[in-house]
Amino acid sequence: MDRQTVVELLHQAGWAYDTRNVNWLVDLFLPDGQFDLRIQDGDVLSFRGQDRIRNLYVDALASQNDQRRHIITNVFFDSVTSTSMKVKSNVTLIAVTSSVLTVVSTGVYTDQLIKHEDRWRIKHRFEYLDRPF
Amino acid sequence: MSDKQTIMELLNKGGWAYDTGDVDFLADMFTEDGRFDLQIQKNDVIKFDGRANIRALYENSLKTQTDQRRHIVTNLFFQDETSDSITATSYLLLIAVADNKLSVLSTGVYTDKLVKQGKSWRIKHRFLYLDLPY
Repeated sequence: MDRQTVVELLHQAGWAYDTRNVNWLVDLFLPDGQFDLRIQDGDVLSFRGQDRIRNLYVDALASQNDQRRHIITNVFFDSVTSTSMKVKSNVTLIAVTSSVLTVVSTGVYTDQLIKHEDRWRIKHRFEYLDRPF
Repeated sequence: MSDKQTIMELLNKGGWAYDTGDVDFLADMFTEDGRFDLQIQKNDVIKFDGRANIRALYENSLKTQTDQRRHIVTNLFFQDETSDSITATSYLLLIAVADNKLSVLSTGVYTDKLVKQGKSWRIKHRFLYLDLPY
């Protein structure tokens, strides 16, 4: 059941970005959660805490006027306890304009989640992208 | 098997059923009074009321397509769960293959309201939003 909940959480994260629901997205992280982003061989960009993660998402969304679709697949669990999980998933990132669909990038999420007060949230997300988004 | 697992398989099999032309299965996914609303980009919503009309939609769509379609269903999550109803949101990645060429035709979002009838879950209302025409 916990695995099912976490899989749904990862799916919701993709959907929340694509529907520009930043509140939903940020709430998937713990207040002291961290998001690390690496694009190809670039430096890792780190965003710590819900406020900085929110700013990242707000800025990214402001720069995009196409319809993004974060296709989440290949979910599997590296470690599972009653209160923590480490899970990997693939993302296929698609952008759609009024007439053109483009596969923008592929990548891998590595998420560490914590169960706190009966709710699973992301403690640490590392996103590696094969191309810029 | 849990209800969510059952519904996940139903929605996954729905994609497979379209791609193999299994209209009987597709129609049977819906309740007798089920509804399928289809919106392509910002165009008007096209409504199909009742299982018979939904079956005709699928039959007519399949007749116009000579390529091999693949409905990739992903990103499933659930909301508003009760013992006999639930809302399922999932993504569609629609691919067509013909003449050795593969095209990603569209992406979209299914919002399905399902009800439990006896031991079976069926779609009472499906809303499909497509980012591009199919």
